[in-house]
Amino acid sequence: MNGNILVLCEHKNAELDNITLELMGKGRAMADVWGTRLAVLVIGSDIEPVVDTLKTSGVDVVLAAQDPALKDYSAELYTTVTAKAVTEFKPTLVLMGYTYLGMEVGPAVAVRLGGTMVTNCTDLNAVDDKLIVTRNMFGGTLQARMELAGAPPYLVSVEKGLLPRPELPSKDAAVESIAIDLAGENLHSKIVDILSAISGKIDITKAKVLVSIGRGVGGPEKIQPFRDLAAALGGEISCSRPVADMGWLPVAHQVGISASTVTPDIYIACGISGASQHVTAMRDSGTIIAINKDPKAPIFRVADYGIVGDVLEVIPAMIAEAAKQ
Amino acid sequence: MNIIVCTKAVPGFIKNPYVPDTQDRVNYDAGSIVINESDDYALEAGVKLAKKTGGKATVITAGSLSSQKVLQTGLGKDADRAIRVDTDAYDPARISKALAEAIKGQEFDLVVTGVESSDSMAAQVGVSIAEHLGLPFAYAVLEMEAGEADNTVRITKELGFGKKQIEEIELPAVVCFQTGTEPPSFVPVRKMMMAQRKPLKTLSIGDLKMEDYAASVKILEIFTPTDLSVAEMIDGTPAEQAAVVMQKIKEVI
Repeated sequence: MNGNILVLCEHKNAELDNITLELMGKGRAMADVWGTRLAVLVIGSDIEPVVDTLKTSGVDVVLAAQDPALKDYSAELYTTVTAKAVTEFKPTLVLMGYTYLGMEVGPAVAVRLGGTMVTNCTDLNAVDDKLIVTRNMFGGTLQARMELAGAPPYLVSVEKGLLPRPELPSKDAAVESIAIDLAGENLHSKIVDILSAISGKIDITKAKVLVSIGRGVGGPEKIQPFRDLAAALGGEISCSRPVADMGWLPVAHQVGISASTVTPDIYIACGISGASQHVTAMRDSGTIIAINKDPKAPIFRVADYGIVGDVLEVIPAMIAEAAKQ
Repeated sequence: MNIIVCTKAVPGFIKNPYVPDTQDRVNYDAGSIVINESDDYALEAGVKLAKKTGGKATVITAGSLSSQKVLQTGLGKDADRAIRVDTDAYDPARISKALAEAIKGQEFDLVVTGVESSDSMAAQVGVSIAEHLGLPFAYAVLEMEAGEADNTVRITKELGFGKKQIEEIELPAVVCFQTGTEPPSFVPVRKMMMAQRKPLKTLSIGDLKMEDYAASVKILEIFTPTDLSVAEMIDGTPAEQAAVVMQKIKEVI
């Protein structure tokens, strides 16, 4: 197998998201082995700064889809544009993040073009003549190595924060625009409003220490010791999605791709199993300590220190120890 | 509004997973069979909106006989009808094709699904169904209601990192529910027993005249990611563990 490779770019405020840099690194390495071209597709309304950055970032081609109608994200339009770019550039492999963008646009483009989509991958490689991916299953407690078997194009979404971001040698990339006539598109959805960012008194993204609780702490009445430990360490309390969903803590405390990304010096994960949506948003923390009853919990994969045990026993012992010091 | 809710039966936990010779699935001993979490949110919201708008709710699943438990859960939560697409397909590409073909034969205004199943974790069936049916879709939806314009649904979806978008989508459409705002209700035992006596419709893949839809992957091997763990494990009593870990914390702050 070989062929051109296309990376679906994610950008915000004229800056490339890390997932795009990760996929470009992987795409570059594979295109070099295959002797093929690597392109990046940029979609938006004011994309010149991003296109300028990408022109010298190690890709061969920058595909630019620019239109005022693409200012706000629309699943419908982004799918149409991505399908058009894939049809024109004819990649064998399309790489995207296992992000909200990749989760929406990826499967839609795959079905529309009769290609093959594999999601939630942690790595991919060309081995001999085959494309092999590793992906999460069963809550991340199991991983599978799979060979892509369907028809091309192959669309692969990769979890953010796992692949390295190598410094790529600069290339003088060709810029090609994807000609789109969105005025003629018969839109079936209309954006009514965009609600931005979580507001609240607390900002967990600025905390140096986070004591983060998951479903495993057992209930809202059991949270106080975790607050006490956070206070003793000069930090804040944060949580996983189920804790916020169940209303044990406000969403302003939630760590995850749907809420906040955090990088404290110390992250103490208490009773958090480590779903990829959570891990992606905290794995760049300085020192990660995980406490969980289940020795197989995926959170131990990203932890520096692990304790297999009951958080309701370990946390009070840590508070007592803090008082001693 | 007539609403079809797609649900999946997933294992509560698994033991002894292995890849059979067919290499198209992971087999295991299931600890229990439950409705997939985000599908449960979809079911709750779908039945509620159907009732509110004077329509019917149909719960559907693709799977073997053991998966019909989720249909009974659906009927227990007041869905009007239940359909099982009889298939042992495992691959999300085949499942979405089978469900899309089954849905095509029904009367509906809206299809709702969960965002991702806890076993395959592919997060692609809902959007794929929409594309097979040529319908608009929304993913990671937290809330929905009838739209202001006729024949639309108004949804609130997550865009990530706290950003949300409100959209009005023309019907028919597909909406993929995220876990979130309205927690699923519990079905009382009596209601569940009554649901078990209600009829379930079964469709076979043959009835659907679905062409042989090939699996998209060949599974080579499975392994536990903890094998890759680099964490330094701290043993001992809670007090001993606390002493060590607090020392590590002290070294950083």
